[in-house]
Amino acid sequence: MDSLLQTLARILVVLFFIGVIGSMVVVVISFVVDLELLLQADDEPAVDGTGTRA
Amino acid sequence: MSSRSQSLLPSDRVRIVVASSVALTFISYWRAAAIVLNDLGSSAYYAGGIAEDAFGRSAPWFILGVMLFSFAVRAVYVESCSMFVRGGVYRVVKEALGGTLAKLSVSALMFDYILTGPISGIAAGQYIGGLTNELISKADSHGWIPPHLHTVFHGVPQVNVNAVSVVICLAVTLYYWWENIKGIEESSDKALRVMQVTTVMVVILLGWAVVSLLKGRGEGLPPWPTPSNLHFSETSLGFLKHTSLAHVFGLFGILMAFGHSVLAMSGEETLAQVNREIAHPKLKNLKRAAIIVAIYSFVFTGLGTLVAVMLIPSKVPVVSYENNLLAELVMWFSGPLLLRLLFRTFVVVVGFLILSGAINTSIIGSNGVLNRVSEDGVLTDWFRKPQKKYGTSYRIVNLIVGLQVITILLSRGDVNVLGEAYAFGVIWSFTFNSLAMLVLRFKYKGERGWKVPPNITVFGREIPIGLTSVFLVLLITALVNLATKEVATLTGIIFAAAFFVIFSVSEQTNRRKFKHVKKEMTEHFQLLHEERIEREAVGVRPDCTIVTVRDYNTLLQLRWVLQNTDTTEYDVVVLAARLTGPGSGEIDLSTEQIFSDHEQTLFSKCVSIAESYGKHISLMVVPARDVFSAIVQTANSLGAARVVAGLSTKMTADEQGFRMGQAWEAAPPPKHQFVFQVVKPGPEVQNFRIGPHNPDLTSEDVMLVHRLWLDARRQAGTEELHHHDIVTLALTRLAADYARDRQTVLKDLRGRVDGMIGTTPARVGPQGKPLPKPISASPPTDPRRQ
Repeated sequence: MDSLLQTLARILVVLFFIGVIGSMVVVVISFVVDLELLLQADDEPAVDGTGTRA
Repeated sequence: MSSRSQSLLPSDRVRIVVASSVALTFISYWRAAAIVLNDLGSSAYYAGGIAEDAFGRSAPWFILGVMLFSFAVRAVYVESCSMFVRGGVYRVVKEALGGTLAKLSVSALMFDYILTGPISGIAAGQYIGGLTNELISKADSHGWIPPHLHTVFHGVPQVNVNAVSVVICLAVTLYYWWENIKGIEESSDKALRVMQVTTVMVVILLGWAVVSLLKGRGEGLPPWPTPSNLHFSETSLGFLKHTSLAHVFGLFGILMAFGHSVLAMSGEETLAQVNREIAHPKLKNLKRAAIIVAIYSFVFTGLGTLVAVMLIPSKVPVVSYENNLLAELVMWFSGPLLLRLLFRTFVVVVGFLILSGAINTSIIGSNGVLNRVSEDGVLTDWFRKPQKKYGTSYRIVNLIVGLQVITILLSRGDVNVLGEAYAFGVIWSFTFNSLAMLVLRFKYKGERGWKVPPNITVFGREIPIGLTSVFLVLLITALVNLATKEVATLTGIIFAAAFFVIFSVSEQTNRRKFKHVKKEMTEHFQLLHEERIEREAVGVRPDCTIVTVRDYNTLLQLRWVLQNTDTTEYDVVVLAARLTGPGSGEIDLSTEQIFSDHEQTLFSKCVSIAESYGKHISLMVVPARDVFSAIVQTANSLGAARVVAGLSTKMTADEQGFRMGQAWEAAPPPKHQFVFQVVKPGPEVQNFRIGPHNPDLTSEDVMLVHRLWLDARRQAGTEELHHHDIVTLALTRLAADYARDRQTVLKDLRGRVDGMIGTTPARVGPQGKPLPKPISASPPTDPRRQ
């Protein structure tokens, strides 16, 4: 039972850190784009993360 | 439209126009961010303490990590909101995964909401109790506490902080229960003000902390977030405490610690709740609000916890301050004690404001979610029955607050117990939401306003890398929490299962019941769904009269209108503004949603009154968050000449008139002026003109204009002078005076309104001579009044 738990824990750890790395990419991209959007004046057209006009 | 009696024969059914769009007042992204932060920011007061208690002094790194990760969760919510105007968990999960999982996810969300109130209230109580004891201790050290009190308390008098917390939490919860029963609107003004004060506090707190650190206070950075620095308490190991993972957890410990910190981002769901109210351009402003929320909560909750652990010495036991983290932090700042005590008091006051605001947000949020699911036929009409006096869904409010009161009493004022359980609802509602969004990436191929980046295309198929990553982190954290949070797992599963059963049983009951209602509907009423209210679609002529109705026991206003209106000349539209919860109503209201028992009785009674007068009425339902706003928008759309309402049970006729005027000012153009009439018992009618209109000049005013004109006209070069030129000049001068010396002008105006003629300057003629007494000595009238 314990060895099963340990194996499960290892799998979860690997998946978690893969998820964390991917999430950090999300954070960096969306932060830069959204911060730019926040600092834009209201009358300027906004460009969103997918490159389309919002 | 001809005057005709309305029979309830199937061949001549009564038409009811149903507006499927909720009439809303829109708010800026700053206000939207303030509402979300009232919920999300409040966790700064307790999340750090709970995490430190669970696994030790490296907690700030995990709180910072969670706050960074919340940027990614925010991205998921923005994508869901870009697809569904109300991108809340229920709507999204239902679309992607079906009704059963939607009910399950909303049960988890309800658990989150129900616990938000108690944890916030108890945390506020802990701060107040802690401050009281600190002040008593300091007073005692100066010998200000009478010695005989030491005998009574067996030492320095101290209050029981947990008991105080329970009492304060109960008092605030009951206060907001009553406010919600009365139907207060969620005020973005209030949220903005609270966040402004909170910002002042955060700036001082972090600034003072940095100064203290620079002066050599504290022990430097907390231990790095490595497995060797994680020291889990027995409680925080949960079901794992009897396994080998409790001793040799390795990197798995990082997952456990992350799971214990995840409640720091509770409140993100509120973003989806306010999305519908955000002003145009919606997506752009939603993203702005979201980034403000993310940065603010990173600074407040993340950095606040970091400086707290840096400044509070490790020798101080965590249990002594875990529920008072920010207050304890202040006591370790450099500077005079008095100043620190004063600032601590400020921190506690701000904490009380923001945490008690979170209690209200939790009641409003749960009410909104339950109203939303009930509109979908998942809760029976019994839950939605309007309160007789205030028209609110009081049974839902009672249910929510009842559950919160039970939770408060069971917690016995222990924030840790509540925090344990709270994380369950938070993480599972996020997990369901991200899973649903992931499924929708494959299921729904249409255009989206925005997508969580990055996405790569392989063999023509888009792979949502970012969304999958966020989902992985959420799912694994949720699973790990199941193992490490005993209280959360047990209470969460019981609670979610109970709600799930209630939803399922209610849904079945509703399905059976509405077979019958649909039949009656087909026989008696014809529902015409209209996305927007337009005069042509409704089939009324210009200058119609709108009669607002809510309670079928008080329809005096309808009787009065029918008695005094020639319906061959002017149409009468009976309007029921259907109060909806926050964020609800993003889809067409269906038959069963509109025609609960209450609405059916209300409309049937209106029709029967109209029949008794032999006059025709049109019936209309408008979903609304704010009744006045809905009425004004409908009046504008229909080009109504007047709106007639009964006397409110909550406010005076003057207040009703004022609120209607406010709603008119806030309404988008084009706007249409109308007369608002409040019918009081008697009947007595009070009239208000809504929108700009010619003032009612007294004969005294007209005389003054005439005399000024006569005198000026006698002078050379004034041949083209008219009376209106006199008024224009006077107004221009008043405007200039107002701009130069507003207070004096306001004082004079107030003097007129209060009837304090003696305080205003005597009226003088063009030559500076006093004018004759006015012909009419009637008191000045409210410009809005007719």
